[in-house]
Amino acid sequence: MEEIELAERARDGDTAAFERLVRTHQAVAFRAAYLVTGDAPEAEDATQEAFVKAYHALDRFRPGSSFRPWLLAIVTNEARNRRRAAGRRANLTLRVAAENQSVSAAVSPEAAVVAAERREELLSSLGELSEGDRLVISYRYFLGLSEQETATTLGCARGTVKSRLSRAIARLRQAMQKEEDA
Amino acid sequence: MPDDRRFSREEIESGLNDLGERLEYPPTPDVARTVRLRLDEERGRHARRAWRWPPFLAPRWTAVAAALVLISVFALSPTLRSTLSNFIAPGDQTSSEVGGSAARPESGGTQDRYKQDAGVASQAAGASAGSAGEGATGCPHPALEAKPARGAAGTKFRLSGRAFSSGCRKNTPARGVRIYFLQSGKTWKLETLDADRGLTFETRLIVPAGAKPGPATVRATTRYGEAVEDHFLVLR
Repeated sequence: MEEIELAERARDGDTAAFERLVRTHQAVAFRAAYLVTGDAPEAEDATQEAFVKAYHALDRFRPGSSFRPWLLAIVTNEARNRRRAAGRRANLTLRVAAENQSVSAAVSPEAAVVAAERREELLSSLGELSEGDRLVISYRYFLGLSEQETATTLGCARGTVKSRLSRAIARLRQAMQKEEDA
Repeated sequence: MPDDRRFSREEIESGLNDLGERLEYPPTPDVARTVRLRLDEERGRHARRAWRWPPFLAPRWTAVAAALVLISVFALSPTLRSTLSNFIAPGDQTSSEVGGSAARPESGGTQDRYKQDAGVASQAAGASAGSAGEGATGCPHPALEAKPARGAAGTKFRLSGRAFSSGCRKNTPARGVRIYFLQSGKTWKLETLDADRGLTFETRLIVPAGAKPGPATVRATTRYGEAVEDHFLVLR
């Protein structure tokens, strides 16, 4: 069943249709919440609460527009509010997954080590950025959202996302150079 | 390789894309079922709230009106008074005279009947108290109690919970019950715990250092989204 149809049925009170929508989007919603809170239980709570709020706000969802960024905007707000309420700073708690042997078999061990170091370096430099910079980069590159989706999720114009992304990458570059110099 | 080339925008973007594919997130919890349960429960609550008696037909006013009518009929109808008196004390013909029963002390039989009724009532109350942890749907209905229910920031208090089951499964203790302290829009997460086999828990908690003097709420939220609260007063 089409997502729009599910959303319409959910708006008419069909909670089973909404459950299907939740199941489709819960992974990306949880990841978005985790990127904001940096805490798995908090991210789970935020995700659950955001879905309930989304259900009640379905009247405001414009048919024809994409459901995912609309939902992620609610998730992001909920996660931010919870993190602020808990009085915690946003920290980057992501880790790089262990290298898959079958994938790395194609490259030399030296190249694999260099690539892994580069990834750790990038992640560490990312942790030094402000929350705003980190979020725009994370949503765009880690969640794989388009510029338009990132804009809807963060509640700003597409042009704003472009300029924010550009500035964030420039700052990331500086942070990496600083780390390299050190 | 010179720095400016190594850290070109394109290379950073490519590095970020590569990183995005290799990041490790905590396992995604399945919230779909929980969200649906919460929504269904909310809808049920709203449906119950939506149906209201018209003010003049509300059950308590109807009961009051019925009682008034009965009293009036009884007071105005000597025949009815006589019949009722005969029914209550059939052996005592003198008391069944007109107006006799109203001021007449209750006979032993009547008192016994009252005692019996009281006994039934107290049994019902006892039964009701025994099943206080069970809602109308037959699902355990959790309860929460903070003791003492007042204390200054930084002091300890005891929190006990009962009837914390996993959803509607009466024999399965709830796991991952989250305890929050709420005050004036602020929320502190105090603990996450599991209920024991008796569906109860007891824990010692500390009033958050940032809590201000005044009323607050202690809330326990189950994984099924059920929230139970108890009041707390933060002292100076």
